[in-house]
Amino acid sequence: MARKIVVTNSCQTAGISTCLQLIFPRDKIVSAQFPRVENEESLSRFAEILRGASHWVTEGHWDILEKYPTTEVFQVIKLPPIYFAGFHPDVVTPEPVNGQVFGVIDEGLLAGVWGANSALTLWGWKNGLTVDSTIKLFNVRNFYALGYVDLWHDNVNALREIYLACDINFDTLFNRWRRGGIFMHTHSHPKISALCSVAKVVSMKLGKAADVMELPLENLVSDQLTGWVWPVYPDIADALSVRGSYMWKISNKIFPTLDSYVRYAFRSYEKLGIKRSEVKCERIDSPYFQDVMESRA
Amino acid sequence: MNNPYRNLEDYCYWPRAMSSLWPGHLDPVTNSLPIEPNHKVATMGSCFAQHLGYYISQSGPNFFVAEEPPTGMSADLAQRKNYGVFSARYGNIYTVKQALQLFDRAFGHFQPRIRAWARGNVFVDPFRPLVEPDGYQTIAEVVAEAEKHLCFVRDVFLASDWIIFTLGLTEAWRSLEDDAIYPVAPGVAGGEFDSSKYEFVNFSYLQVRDDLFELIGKIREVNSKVKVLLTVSPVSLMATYEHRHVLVSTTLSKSVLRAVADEAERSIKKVIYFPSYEIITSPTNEGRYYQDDFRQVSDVGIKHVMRIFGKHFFQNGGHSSGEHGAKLSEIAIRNNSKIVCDEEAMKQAFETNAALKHSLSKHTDASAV
Repeated sequence: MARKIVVTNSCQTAGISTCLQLIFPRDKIVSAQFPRVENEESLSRFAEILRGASHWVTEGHWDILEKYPTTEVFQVIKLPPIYFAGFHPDVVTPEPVNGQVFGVIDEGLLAGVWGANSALTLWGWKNGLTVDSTIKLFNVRNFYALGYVDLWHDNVNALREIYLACDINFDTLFNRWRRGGIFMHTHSHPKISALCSVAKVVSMKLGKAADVMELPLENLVSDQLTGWVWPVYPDIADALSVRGSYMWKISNKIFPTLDSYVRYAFRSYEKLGIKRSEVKCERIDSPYFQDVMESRA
Repeated sequence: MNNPYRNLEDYCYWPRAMSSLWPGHLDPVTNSLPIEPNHKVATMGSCFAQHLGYYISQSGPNFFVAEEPPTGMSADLAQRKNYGVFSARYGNIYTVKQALQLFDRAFGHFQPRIRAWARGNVFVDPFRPLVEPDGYQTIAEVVAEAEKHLCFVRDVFLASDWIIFTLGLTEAWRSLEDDAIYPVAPGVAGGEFDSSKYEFVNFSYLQVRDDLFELIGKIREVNSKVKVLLTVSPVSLMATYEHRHVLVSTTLSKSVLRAVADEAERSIKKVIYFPSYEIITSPTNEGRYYQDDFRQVSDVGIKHVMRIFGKHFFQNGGHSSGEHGAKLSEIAIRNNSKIVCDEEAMKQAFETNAALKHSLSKHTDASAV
């Protein structure tokens, strides 16, 4: 009998679901975004999606079952999304201002604002630097001083803890991700090879044998996340022995140079009409970041 | 329960030293000495050695160039004539025997009988046929220039604090008359192949070992302070003249050179092996440290090697981050297109010289020299 398997895993849901459907062609794999606004009505609707499911593969919110018990008994498979800043240590997400995401304007798929920002660019804008002065902040000495080349280790350890807490053998997974070089499009968007390996691990929890790991799924499916690409800056890439660039892709629009990105980010920030002082961001507001930047700007 | 592997350093264990590495952080160096600011560092060896020389030249005043361009020569012309590629204009030295003979020639212990090769309407030095791109007008000019050059070579051996020698090949061509060893086969970049005058040789482990020990011994006789840093080039053979696959020959050559380097490091004082070969060929790189031809080393790989070299051999080394790391990262590497490689000439010769191809096809499909 076909099973209903619900997958909820942020923007990584589609890729994982597609892989699972390939692995389990007879089952029904349902992709479901968890409600962004957690009100009673939307949560109740979401609980309805879970009805009839044999499994729920989810990044979190498993407590929903206590609040909205379903008649069926299904198994929850905890699957944390892949957030990894080792390649993209300059990405920061400021706090929303008046409930509005602060970031660069996304004129494409989201048609809103992309909350991922370059810390150096945001710091330059917030502190009244010109575009040209801000571009000069992107240099190897700043990267080293800010610890950008050393973030890898901490990120791996953090991710390992999260995965182990969900009973997933992180090191086996991570060694596979690493083999492909840069396995993230952005700090929060993994490439398809990483998503496939995650889906395969999930499939083992759903009954597949270990040889599922050798299925070349990455040749068949799209991660659907290539609309946003954050570059691995050349000096950081050198330290990690991968190929770097300053080429951004924001909602399918390409910014092929550092100059073009910084100018666009500045224009976006101005268009949002938010005062510089209102933008709060833990990293760039930290005394350490301030000290490093002020001594080098 | 006690066992001899307990309490070893992390680098002794594969899972700790290799499996869990972050990309770009393989560091297999366990033996090093600092290159002091006043040290003169000379380089010689195969094409890969040029990267080290260039890196050292960019890092400070250490790179020792005994053979400087003549006063008034433009920088472009000096570069074209291969000044500053190595410490003297000896070009690539692929085999240990070639290096040993270079030393002997410089100190008057060996005078090869064949002193010039014709290349079209000009003549070239058979021991460095690509160093002077336009060649010389007369044989006498070749001989005179070689004599001048050998004076500078003598300075390299006499005055260096460090000699970095990158071991490249075990296969070579030699003169039947006097055993003179050439960097490339006759007929590739000058001269004419004649089986009654030249023969192929693939040096065995014992031959390479004896040559290297003799070379280091001779250098130490004239310069007792010199430290020798050995590396093995990770660049594969362009072609083999053995009747077997080029990969099999490459493995044999590199294995022999690596084993000899190990014995030298273990047996001779102030000889250090720097594992650039291991960095480039490590499985942790997934082949990314090679270019698309799987032979030449990629810029990413070269940067890794230079980062590790700087970390262990330059002053204030030992830090992978902070100001020192940033400084090392700022040092440019030599663009691969600027590397002078005699072996590349073999490829060109193979592709363009139909007569040579015909001659070679009698021996083996894979051969180019």
